[in-house]
Amino acid sequence: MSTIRLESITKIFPPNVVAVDNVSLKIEKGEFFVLLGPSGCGKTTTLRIIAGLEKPTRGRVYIDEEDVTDLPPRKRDIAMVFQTWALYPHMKVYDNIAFPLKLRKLPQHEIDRRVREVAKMLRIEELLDRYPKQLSGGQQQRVALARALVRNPRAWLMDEPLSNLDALLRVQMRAELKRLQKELKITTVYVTHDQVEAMTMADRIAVMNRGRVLQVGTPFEVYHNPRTIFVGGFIGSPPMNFVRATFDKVGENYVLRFENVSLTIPSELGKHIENRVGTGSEVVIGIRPEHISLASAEEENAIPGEIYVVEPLGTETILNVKIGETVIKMKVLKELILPVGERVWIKFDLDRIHIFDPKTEEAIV
Amino acid sequence: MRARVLDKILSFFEGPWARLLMFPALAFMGIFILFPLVWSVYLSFTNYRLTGPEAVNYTFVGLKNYLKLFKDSEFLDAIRNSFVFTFLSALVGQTVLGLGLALVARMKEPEGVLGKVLKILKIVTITVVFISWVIPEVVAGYAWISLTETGGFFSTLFMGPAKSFKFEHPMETIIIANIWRGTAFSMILFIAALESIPSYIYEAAEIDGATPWQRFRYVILPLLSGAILVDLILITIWTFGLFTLVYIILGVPFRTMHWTIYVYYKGIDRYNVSLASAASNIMFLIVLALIVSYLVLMRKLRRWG
Ligand SMILES: Nc1ncnc2c1ncn2[C@@H]1O[C@H](COP(=O)(O)OP(=O)(O)O)[C@@H](O)[C@H]1O
Ligand SMILES: [Mg+2]
Repeated sequence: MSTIRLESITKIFPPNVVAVDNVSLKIEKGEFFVLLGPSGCGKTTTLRIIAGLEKPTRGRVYIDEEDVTDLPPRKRDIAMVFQTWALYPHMKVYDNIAFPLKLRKLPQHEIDRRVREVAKMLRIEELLDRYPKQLSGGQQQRVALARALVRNPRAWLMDEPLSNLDALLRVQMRAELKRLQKELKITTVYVTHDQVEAMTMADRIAVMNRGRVLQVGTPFEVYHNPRTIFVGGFIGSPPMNFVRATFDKVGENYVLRFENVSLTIPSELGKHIENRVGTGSEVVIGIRPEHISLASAEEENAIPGEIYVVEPLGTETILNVKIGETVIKMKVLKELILPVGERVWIKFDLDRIHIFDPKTEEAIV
Repeated sequence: MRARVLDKILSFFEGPWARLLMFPALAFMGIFILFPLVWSVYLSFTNYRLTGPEAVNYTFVGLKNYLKLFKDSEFLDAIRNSFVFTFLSALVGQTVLGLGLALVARMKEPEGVLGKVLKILKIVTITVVFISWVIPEVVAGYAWISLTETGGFFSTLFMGPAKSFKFEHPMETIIIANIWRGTAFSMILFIAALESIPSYIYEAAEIDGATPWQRFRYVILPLLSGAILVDLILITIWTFGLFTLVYIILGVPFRTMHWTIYVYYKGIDRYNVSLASAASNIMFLIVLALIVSYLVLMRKLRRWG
């Protein structure tokens, strides 16, 4: 069990690609830490810096509070699953997995026991006698994972280790991996662009975009309190709806206006926004599909719209509702088929709305 | 427009006519390689000479030339020396040195002034190695003569002013000269081969905890085995068949140092072409056997293909 700490890490690839931009993180002992972000946001580079495969342009890396910035990878005692798998083509699956143990001169029977154990968990026992070339992508990826899991290093670094598995196996492996990590309590940095993976596996998530860490928190925190529009939009499926609106005060009431709609919001929330940006200013409302419900015309703050598209998902249904020119996605927890063009009334759960500043894209409340 | 015409012409050759394109090359090989081979096999069973009555009226003599060769201590010396020469100059010298240089060429220099100096040193070394490969063989041969004859730099350095390195150590002379001249090929071959190994495989080995030596031994070396095989085959053929460089440096007096000089001596100096042909054929079979054994060995080592 080890801690990992990144201190103001910046990585610039020549001539001037800023892959990682002033990132500071502290990963706790035994934590399952996920780096989440879209492709190209600098996740792999960050992981490679922790591993020692890449030297940061600025900043320091600490493992167990020891400065390892100038230490080569082999002296950091970490295991890594490469995004590209990086299997040794000249070794059979068995030898690929056993290689790190052989280098550490473990006794033969111990190596054999560990290799078979991890192969069983990853369901590649029958493949041990094959060469990597004779495997499918998903199988090769599991071998890469096995080569990391077979060790008990100070940390596991995993770069999208489940990306090539088919849907069912991915869900199973997700659970296996999480269970194993909790059992062995090995500090893990896990890179993914899949927010479901991040939400289901992480103790904490760091959401990255364009080389920066935008927010660090538990899955609960990043889901319920996104600090920026990007984080709100990246986490959750379908993503959060964003609506540009004008914030105003009418008499004693605070309102949000968009299209032909005027929502009266709780005065607590209204006062807060007023204090931050003042009345009459432009804001962005963020509301998750699961926090919108169907309503009737008489209800207070009900919004009229018409059905645009219906996406049934079995036990739940995604309704796309058109309000003026704005299309809002909402989730209802039942099977519901409505004809396109049908007039409906919907209602935002005003306790669950997020208000962002359109200029800074940061949350106001 | 022009591309479309070219396409039409090329597509004509896509079908059964494609084989036609091989014809010029096959004809060339037939005339200049296959025919002389067959002809020399034929001649080796006769008593044909370049001059004298046997130049016109030569007859079939069976294995006589071959038997004669096996009793000729000069020829047996030449074979033994050819093995020593090839083993030390090509297999040990060029392959090992070429691989070493290729590894150095790929190495990342440390940052800072030292790194810059190392980088310049590296570029200079590689350039020099490369130049020694591209200058004409005859020029290279005379350069080595001037170094190793009496008063030459090598001679003076190792033997004093009155002796010739070349005369005292003919084998060492051609071994060094051939390493100097031929290493560039192996180096380039290995640089290309190293280039084709994805960098993340080295990185994986580093993460797995391999020291630089272990990375070389367990990852780089096995992955290079194909290139090493190609290198061994080619330079074995070339070194066994090397004539110009060794002939220029040593000449006929040292015909027991390499079989090609021996063959030249017998065939051209002594006009005994049939005997020289027999000697060539023996060497051909030896080289063939060597190459087959490389292939068998490699197939055993490289099952992951
Ligand atoms: N070796 C490199 N040289 C130049 N640019 C690179 C290199 N590696 C990554 N980058 C760039 O850095 C950015 C971040 O890349 P990466 O860390 O691989 O992102 P991610 O893993 O999140 O998809 C990208 O813009 C990428 O093009
Ligand atoms: Mg990546």
